[in-house]
Amino acid sequence: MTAIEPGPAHARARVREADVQFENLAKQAHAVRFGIWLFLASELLLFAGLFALYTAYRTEYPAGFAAGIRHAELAIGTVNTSLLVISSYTAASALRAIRRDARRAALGWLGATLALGTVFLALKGLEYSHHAAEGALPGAYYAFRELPEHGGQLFFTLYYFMTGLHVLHLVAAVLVLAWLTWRVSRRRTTAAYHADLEAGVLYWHLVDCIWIFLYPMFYLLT
Amino acid sequence: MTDHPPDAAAKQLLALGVVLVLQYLNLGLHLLGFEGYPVVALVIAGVMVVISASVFMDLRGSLPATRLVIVLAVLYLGLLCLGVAGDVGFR
Repeated sequence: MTAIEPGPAHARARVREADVQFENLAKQAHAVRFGIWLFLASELLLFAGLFALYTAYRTEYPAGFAAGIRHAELAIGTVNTSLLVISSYTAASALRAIRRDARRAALGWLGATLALGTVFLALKGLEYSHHAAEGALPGAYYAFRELPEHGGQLFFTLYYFMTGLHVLHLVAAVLVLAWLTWRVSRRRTTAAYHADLEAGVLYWHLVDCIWIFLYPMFYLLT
Repeated sequence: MTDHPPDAAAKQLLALGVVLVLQYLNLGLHLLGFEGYPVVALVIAGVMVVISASVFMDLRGSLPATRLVIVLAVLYLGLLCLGVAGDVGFR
């Protein structure tokens, strides 16, 4: 629930009231924070299962996995890792800015975060297109002549599944952050109540943390 | 999350620098190539995630219930790792 705050200085500002099930905004913010952490923990468990699957297959086919990693686009993977790490800093900076009611600064940091995430997705698309051109496709579509072993096929199947799932998470994070940017621009997320931005930024950090593990698994561990 | 003190910006900038240095250290060690590198690479990735979680996600300033959720998730991860290690070790 919102109400227009009177006064010329804040003519367009909205004063947020707690949703009906909460006693006040502070309690609502606590519930949002706890809820997002529960969600992040469940996401962690989803990827943990996939990491275990990767370990099991890698143990079974060490040569195929090592050869698969040697065909990875190391330069793109490295640049993408730096982009996501930097985007975590810009996302955290947006939150710091909104806390001190610096709306313009927050919008700038959010814009930078969205730009970094979008460049990551574009580079990932480029990487996928290179692999597809070589015939390194997942499952039954695998036709990579340089690496005909079954281990190579399994490596690329896991590569597409795990990095693809990560890409889906990043697309969701970009959409959420774009929506939050709109809310900040419309003064619906302010210094007085910004639990929604905290939740979005925490989700962004999780996407970054997952990639930090995917990077060595698919680009470095030859 | 707690409200950030004024030095939070400097702390986060320092964390960003350390995480980036660790990333390129990992890449450098990969290019050197030595036995036991996979373990080192995963340890470096783990340190990068711990720094991100504690500084950017402000885990230390979160509610006790939140920290309990994270501890339980990490314990589950530990059990999973133990299970995988057991499977690999006893084949």
